[in-house]
Amino acid sequence: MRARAILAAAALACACSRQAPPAAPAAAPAGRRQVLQHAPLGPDFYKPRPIGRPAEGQPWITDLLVTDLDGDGLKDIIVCDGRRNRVSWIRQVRLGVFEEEDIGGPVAGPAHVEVADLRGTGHLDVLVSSMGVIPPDNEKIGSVVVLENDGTNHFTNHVLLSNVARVTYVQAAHFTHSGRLDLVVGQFGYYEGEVRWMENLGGGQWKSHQLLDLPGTIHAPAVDLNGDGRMDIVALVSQDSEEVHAFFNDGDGNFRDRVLYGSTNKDYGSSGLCIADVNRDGRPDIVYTNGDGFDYATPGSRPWHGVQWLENKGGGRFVFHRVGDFPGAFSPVVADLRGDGRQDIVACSGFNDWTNPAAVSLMCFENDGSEHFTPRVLAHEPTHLIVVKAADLFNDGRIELVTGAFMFYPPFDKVSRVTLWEHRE
Amino acid sequence: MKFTGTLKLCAAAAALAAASAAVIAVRPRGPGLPPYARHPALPASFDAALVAAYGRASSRGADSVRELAALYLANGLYDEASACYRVAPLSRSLSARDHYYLAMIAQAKSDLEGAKSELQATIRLDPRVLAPRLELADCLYKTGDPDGAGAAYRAVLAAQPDQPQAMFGLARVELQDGDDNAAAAELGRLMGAHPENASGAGLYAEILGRRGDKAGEARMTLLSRQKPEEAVPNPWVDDLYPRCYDIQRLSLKFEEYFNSGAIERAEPLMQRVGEVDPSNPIPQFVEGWSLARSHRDAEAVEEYKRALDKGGDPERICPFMAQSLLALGRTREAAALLASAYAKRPDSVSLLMVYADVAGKAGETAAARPLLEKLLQRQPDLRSANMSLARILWSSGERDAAARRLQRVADGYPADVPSRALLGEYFVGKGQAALAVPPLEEALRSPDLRPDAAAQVTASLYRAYLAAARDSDPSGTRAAGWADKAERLEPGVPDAYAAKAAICAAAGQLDEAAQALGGLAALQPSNPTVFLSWGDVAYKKGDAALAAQKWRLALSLTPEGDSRLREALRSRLDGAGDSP
Repeated sequence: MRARAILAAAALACACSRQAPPAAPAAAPAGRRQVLQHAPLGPDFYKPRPIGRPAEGQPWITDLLVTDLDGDGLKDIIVCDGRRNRVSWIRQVRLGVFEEEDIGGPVAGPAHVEVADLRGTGHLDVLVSSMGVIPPDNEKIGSVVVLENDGTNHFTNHVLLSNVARVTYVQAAHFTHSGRLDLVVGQFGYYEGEVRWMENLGGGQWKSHQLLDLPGTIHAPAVDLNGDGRMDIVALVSQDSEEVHAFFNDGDGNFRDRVLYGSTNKDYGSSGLCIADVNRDGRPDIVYTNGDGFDYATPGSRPWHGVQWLENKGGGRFVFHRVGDFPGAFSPVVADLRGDGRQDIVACSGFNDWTNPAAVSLMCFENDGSEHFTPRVLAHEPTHLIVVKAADLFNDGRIELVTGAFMFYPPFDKVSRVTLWEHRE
Repeated sequence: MKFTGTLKLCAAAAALAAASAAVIAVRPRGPGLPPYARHPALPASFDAALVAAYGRASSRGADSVRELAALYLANGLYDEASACYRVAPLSRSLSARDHYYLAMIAQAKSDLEGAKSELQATIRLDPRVLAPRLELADCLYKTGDPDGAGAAYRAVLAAQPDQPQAMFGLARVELQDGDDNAAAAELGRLMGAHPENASGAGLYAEILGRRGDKAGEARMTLLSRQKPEEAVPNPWVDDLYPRCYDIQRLSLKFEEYFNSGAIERAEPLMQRVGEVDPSNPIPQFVEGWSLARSHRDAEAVEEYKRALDKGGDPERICPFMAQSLLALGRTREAAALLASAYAKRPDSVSLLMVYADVAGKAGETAAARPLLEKLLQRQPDLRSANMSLARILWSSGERDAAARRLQRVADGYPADVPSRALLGEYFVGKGQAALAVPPLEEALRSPDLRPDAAAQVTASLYRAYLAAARDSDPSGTRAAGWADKAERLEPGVPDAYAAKAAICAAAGQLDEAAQALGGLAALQPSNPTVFLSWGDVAYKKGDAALAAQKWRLALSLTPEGDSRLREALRSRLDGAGDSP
């Protein structure tokens, strides 16, 4: 629905990665066995702990990324703070001890963050999608900003693209054989928007190639969908379209657009997407949520909100499966929470009836091993969670979660900013 | 009251028992009616309607089961609705409308393959109805069959050549097929036939922009900002809403119709909300909005107050109420209303935006300024807030601070005119006229430049060119370049010619100076100083005869009373025989 704005744009769904897209789910580090969790999935599985700056007022966290930014072996969290127009780094200074600091200069309406060694310096730069403003706006105020790492973890803003429809997604990937990292850029815009890829010509020169002329893109991760060794692009396009597009790459940066799935409900509320091998058949599947309810007279959930996955059957064929209903669903992430070898799906709720104490803010859809999913409530509060990420933060073979809150509409009695969900024992 | 409610419940239970008994007594073969269940998320009135519908459907007459199915469907109970359609004899006599409802159910459950076959069945039974044909095309497109979708859209267009949704859909198919020209042509036709089609305009703007047609892009961008196009008329869908007891569903559909301007389709839905839930504040809110649209703002304010009294969200209602108060000239009341709402919701950006705006309009600059500063801390790129704060700063003489706000707007909004116009004025005022030129030139090229502002921007740019010419080193080429630009911008205005002549003469470019004076003389043929200067230039060039001719002409034009000028000319003419 056109009137709906783009909060959905804010949260990304892919799990942490460096340059390559995350085809694999959040898992224990290579060589380390995952630890089987005997506790049943439910409200007692995790215990929430605020990390980073305290929540003041009503925070607008738009995206999180778990990554080891300084390469010290401890995973950190990069935060997009839409209220403060800043990107910050919640650094794990010691195991389990977190400190937050801003990195780079202000970025207007930061919506999404990725890392990549974009300049080949051996250090991770931070790629930020800047919407200009988070609320609806059709002006060309979007930009792609890279926070360049000087090698000592001091970051300087460098604008790669500006004065374009609001940018909600940017990721680096190799789309040609040049050996240079190119970019895919999703631009939600409002009435106008697009998906483009930016060819890295070297020497700081970029050339844009438009892939889609529609507004509403919220995620556009790069992934080799058909196993031909070439990076393709998947785009989740909300607004009027509510479609999942695949752009298949011929290896020379020529892309062929195909709609993999679309809802005919213009209010479907597409809100998040991630790539993961849900059924462990070696092919990357697509998991996505619909739960955006931002711009209605009464923001909140809709009866059709939920989680689904598109099973990759190979040869470019995908089959739709509904995972389950979940009011206000956002930010799907695939992780084996119990260490039982089955890929569960976690999602959070950005829009629910928060006046109802039974409203769920964090949910796991537990996989029985045959991709039949059972909803397990992980938490009712804090509320207004728009982004969740899963990772083994403490290198102990267990998966922790990190959530970010976007406090957009009342009630504001269960406020949070960034929350770590760690195991109780 | 409570007693009456209990009676009603007993009656309902009795009806249900009778209905169940009837079902048990006559149990035809095949699937039965879905088991009755209460639905706590829906109001008690739904349960009463359901019980009554079960009572009627117990005979399994096709029409009564159909009615039960529609009741379930209207309230989003898809499994139950679907089960009703499997009950014989209804299952053996499905109408086009029944198949359409089954297609609705399939779409609601994201089963687009099922939806396609039901839509095909609908079309087979009643090919005249437009909505299912379009939905079938959409389903084909969204399941990765662009060829099938293209054929379906073309079939619609064969029956109805300018059908906007089909034209838009076809353009999308062509785009996906890589046929940019065909898509652009289709969208061109769409916008020619339906300039109100906002989706088409948005897509066309993107394509035109990509192809470098900036003027066309700007035109389409403007059209894309219209309200969203109205949904295809669909009486089968509208027939369901009188059976709907779900406030959220009614509100969502209302909002869709309302936002697209289909007020006559929206109003019955709001009436239905009022019937189902008399305590709901939304009908009053909408009534207020509707009254305000008809400029009945005093009544609108009263409706908004009622909506607030019923627990409506002040964040949503107060901005509208403030607009009505402003329309009534009750500016201070509007500011007070927003101050109160904002005090309770200090983190509401939408309230802050409106409050800052209204405070500014109320002349409460002292109140508006900190509000705008706070707002811009949170949303630094908001155009209107930056402009409002810039104007406040400008008026208070803090022009450097104002310029920073203006620059922010200009950087973020490439087509914004007011920020550029004021920036131009700022730089001219600072004696940096050359810096004033770029923003003013951008403003003049902007697609957003309104005709009434064009003259003002042109005049500002003209002044900036001349000032830049004056500020430049006259011996360089830059000064003449500025004067040239001024001359081209305002070919009928003499100042540019005079400035150019003076600059060229000072730089020794006498031919150019003479040419400029020639232009000036054509504009001011009775101005003696023009011919004096022209004579001076001719003299410097060594053409004493021409110089004398111009001076004599100047003398003839000089009034008798202007003795200084006459003396100057005579002295020149007296010395005309001397070598220059």
